Amino acid sequence: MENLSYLVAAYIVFWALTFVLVFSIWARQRRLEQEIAALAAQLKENEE
Amino acid sequence: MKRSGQDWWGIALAVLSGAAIVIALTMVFVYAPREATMGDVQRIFYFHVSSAWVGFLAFFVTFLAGIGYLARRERRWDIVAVSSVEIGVTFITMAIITGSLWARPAWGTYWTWEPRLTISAVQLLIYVSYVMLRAAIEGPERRARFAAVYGIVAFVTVPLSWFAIRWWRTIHPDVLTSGEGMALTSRMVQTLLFSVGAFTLLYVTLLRQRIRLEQATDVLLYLRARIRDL
Repeated sequence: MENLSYLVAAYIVFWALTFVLVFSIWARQRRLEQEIAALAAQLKENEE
Repeated sequence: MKRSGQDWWGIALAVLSGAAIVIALTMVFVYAPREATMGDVQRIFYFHVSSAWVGFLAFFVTFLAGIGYLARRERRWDIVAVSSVEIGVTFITMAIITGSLWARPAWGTYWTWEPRLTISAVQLLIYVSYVMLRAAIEGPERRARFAAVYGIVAFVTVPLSWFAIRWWRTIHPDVLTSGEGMALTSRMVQTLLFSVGAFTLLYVTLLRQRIRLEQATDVLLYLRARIRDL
């Protein structure tokens, strides 16, 4: 396989960018869900 | 405001798109034959074209969502627009980088300012600006209105990019419509079509998750406002 390094680099770029996007969405979702849970608990406490 | 618990459709979509990407990779490296002129480096082409396709599709969805928002003034259209732009920017970046990695052995340079590449670079900057400017605008309605108009106007870069290799003198191959620059066998075409399908599925999966993220942000803002009002 000639020019193998370019081929490998291209597919690494695909996986790296896909991972960054998926991880970024997952991390933000997780943080928001934790904040929502904390706020919902606080709201419930305040209303009681 | 209620949010559903476990997103089973999301999980099913993620598994399906993951499997489709693995099959596409297998087709790229095992099923598709070695291209006669360029050799194995041509295998970049399948994911390069698929990435560009998803970028264009994402910007088209933003364009439609922009029209939807201006017509109905409903937050859900704005959510779709911003979610799709983020995915589009990632995939256009992917297309530009993988294209450069293909260009180095094919053209002897990573980058040249020919029409298609120049428009792609400008397009990327325009949509990165969309994300940055949007974040800087105060007021949800003003932000959504601005984003809708910007998303509609910015979409002009998609047909411009598509037709750049047909309208102007360019060294970029026009494989899809004229077959210039690369001789595709039926196995190559099948691999390309499957890759495009797998990437489209991946886009739908990511868009769904990104929309849920934006909806969670709305829930958070709603809860904060309620606590403040107590």
